[in-house]
Amino acid sequence: MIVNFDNAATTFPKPPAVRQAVAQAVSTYASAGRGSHPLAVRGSALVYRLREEAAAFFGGQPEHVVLTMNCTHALNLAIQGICAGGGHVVISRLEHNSVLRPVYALAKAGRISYSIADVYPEPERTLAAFRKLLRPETKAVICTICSNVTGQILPWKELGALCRERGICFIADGAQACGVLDVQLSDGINVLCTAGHKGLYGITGTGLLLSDGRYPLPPLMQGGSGSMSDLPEMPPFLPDALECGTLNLIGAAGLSAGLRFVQEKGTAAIRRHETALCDALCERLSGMEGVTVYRTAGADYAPIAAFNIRKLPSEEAAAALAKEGFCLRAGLHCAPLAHKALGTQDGAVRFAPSVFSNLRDTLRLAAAVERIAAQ
Amino acid sequence: MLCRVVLPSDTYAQKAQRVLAANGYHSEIIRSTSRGMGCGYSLRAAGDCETIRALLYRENIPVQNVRDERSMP
Repeated sequence: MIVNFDNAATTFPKPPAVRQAVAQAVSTYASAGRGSHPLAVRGSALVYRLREEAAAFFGGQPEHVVLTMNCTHALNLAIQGICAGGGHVVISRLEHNSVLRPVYALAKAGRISYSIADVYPEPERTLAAFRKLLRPETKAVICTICSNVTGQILPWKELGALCRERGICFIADGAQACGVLDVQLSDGINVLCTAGHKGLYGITGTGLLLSDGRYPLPPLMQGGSGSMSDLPEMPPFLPDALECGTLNLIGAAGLSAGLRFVQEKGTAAIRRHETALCDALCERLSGMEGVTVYRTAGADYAPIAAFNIRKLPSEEAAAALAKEGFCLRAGLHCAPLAHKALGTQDGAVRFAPSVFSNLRDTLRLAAAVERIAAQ
Repeated sequence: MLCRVVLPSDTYAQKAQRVLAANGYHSEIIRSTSRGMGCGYSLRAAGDCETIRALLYRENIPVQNVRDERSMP
């Protein structure tokens, strides 16, 4: 039996309603926004419903919901869009490569400069670190809401308030937070980027960008939008400006069902359940000789936990756990900055439960870690 | 009276349809192609054009044109 504790990468299994919506979509939908014949109307209605659901969930407007391929795609649209005219940006020490790499590439090309803010267990210290790095030419703060390595939550609402006060765009990476924390555009977020296939329980190949409309984002890609087709350039309004080519309707159907699933369960209840599992695991692992759990007292965490077993390379530890049926992600989790800050340059093993995970499997995992550590 | 509301995109047509429905107006989305603008969408709604225009304006929907269908060629 396989037990998935790699839900920070992609939640699996998916809720029955999502599986059903996806299966049904294959035989129901063709394309959206490309005509007014019955098939096109059906597809357009699905897409608009998803925009409405996402807007309601995150407190935005349906026409400011952009469907993307994943969170990385959304972040690239946001980062490259906001940095189109150059300037300076501040990112955190815990960023995923989906933030670091686009920022680094822009800096390497000489188009922007960037600073990296340290993250502390105390929110006020983290906030002060960001504040110190802001410059008159700072265009944006780009920051994850919680680390994909340790689950540490950053003070995103306070950062939002700081950005608003300074007239700086706040781009939030909600890949690990959305579906677990109550994230709202009204938290001071100007552009929220998230994955559809993680805590929102959609399928892979889906993501969302939600804008509050304050900062125009020029398109990264050009192509057909099904609107204003006489123009040689993309339409100047959202979502069309950032959506070119045929949309992923199968994914949209799944994400729509996933959002409804999360809405029905409630993010607070989902977080409570997953946090209880994380706490149970961390409590057991912390008492084991040779096992290091990367959590700091005083910090606030989303339900993700990183650990290492003795001097065993993390990939070997994860492979040993996989032999016992547990799927956990090892290595750098595409977040080298975070691992460097943590002192785990060789990686760590990450535990990430979902709403479908249970205590029995979590305790079995703890027992497996103990066995491996004792060898 | 049948009113034709021209909108820049499918998304705005869908949003406009929701706004009109919430205010008791039945409407139908139709694809429209106009010279100089290319592909767009229109709503054909039963109701007074000025009232419909005002409703959509209030919701910040970028209406491109509102016409009484009887005046259309």
